[in-house]
Amino acid sequence: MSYSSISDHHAMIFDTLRNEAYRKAIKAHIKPGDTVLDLGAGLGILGLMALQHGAGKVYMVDPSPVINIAERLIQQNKFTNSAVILQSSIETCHIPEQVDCILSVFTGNFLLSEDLLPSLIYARNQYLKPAGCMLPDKAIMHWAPVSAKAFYADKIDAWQQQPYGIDFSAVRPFTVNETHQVTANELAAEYLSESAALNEMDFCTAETITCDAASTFEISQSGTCHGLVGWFDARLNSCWLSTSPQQPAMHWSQIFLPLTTPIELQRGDQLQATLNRPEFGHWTWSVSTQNHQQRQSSFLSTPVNPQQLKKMTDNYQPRLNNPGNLALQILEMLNGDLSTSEIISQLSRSLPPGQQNKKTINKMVRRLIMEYTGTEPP
Amino acid sequence: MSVRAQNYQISPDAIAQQVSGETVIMDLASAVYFGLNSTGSKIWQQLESGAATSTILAMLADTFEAPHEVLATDLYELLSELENAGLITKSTPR
Repeated sequence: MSYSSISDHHAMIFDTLRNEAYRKAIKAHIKPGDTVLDLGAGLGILGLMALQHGAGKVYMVDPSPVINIAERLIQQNKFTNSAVILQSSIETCHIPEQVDCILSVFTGNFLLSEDLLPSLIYARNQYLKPAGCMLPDKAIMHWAPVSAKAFYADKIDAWQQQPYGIDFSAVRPFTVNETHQVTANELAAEYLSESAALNEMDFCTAETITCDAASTFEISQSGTCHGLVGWFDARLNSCWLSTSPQQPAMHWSQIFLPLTTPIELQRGDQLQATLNRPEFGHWTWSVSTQNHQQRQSSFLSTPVNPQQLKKMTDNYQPRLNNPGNLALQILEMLNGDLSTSEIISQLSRSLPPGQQNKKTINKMVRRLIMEYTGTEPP
Repeated sequence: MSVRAQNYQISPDAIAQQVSGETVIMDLASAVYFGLNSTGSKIWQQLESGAATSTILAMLADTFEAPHEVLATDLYELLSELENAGLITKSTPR
């Protein structure tokens, strides 16, 4: 999900179920004068709630420019002297003191999507006081085998049809290995067993954010298993916030993990399932019954270019290409002595014919300026 | 048992994808990627089918006009590399 447009934030700001739970937890745990870190602040709703409930100072950190709107909200709500806005990732910013509480919504769909939690662990290790609190402080992933005939027909098997007389069946192996973000209504699933908890994570102590777990499901309803659906619950110290498809909907979705070949299950059968996901890695899930086994992985849903692959391996010996040489030349000119237009003009004149595409130069100069220049002293 | 009689099996943590005749392997445990060229891909396919090292060597001898010792050295180098990357493990002798 991108967090740079306001419409992306609408669903979160107006998710009253989520925000009321946070408000209650903030009220219970923020003490007057506390210093708070609102991590991934967005429009600053949690930080503003903390200020409403007596926080002495709130650091709002978010790499998205949307954080600049939070600054206006701080002024409008008259908290100007108590909030510090930092447009940055937590890993690259500096907060000059330790905090009493870290507020965050770094729990992605099925907890691990988006890989935001490693930044929460970084923030905790860098900035949380030894007796400080985290909201949320714990989360549990859950999953269950489901029958989802209509969804599976629409999203997976549709590729086996031949729309427009074109055979699209080569796409199916990719989509059957994808993790599908769905709402309970879209999936319209029948649950074939009780759900299982598969990964409990304590944010106060966790050092790595991974999942490598197995579950055994006792099938309580006969049916065709098309896949597993996953969600998470997060603890806001005293209360739990559940993104279960069987609970009232919030802005989170569930994740559907399809099976390559749906399997018929009878009441009383056992279904073994495993789930693996390293930090910033791929989801891999497998199921097995007494006479059937299959494994899917989001790695197999990603078309890979062999050239790109070579660049990912450790023994690759990188060498700058033409755009790389141009970027190097531009970076050397970002020394504070030349204006943007002077850099573009000098480059356009100095490059050999064939490399003088002014539009390309213009675009690259501006991108590198945005990314690698600042006002702080070197 | 000589080292060259050693057989190998694919690790349960390895997942492979074919791309334009080449193979990309991901190690689930480390999330590290490994690339194989077209010859390496043929060797990987043999490993997937449970072939013994001697069978893989025979396949290489049928495909390439190179001295047996050269092919054997190249094969064992690749197998060692795959083993060090955790993508294959030594099979238990039967």
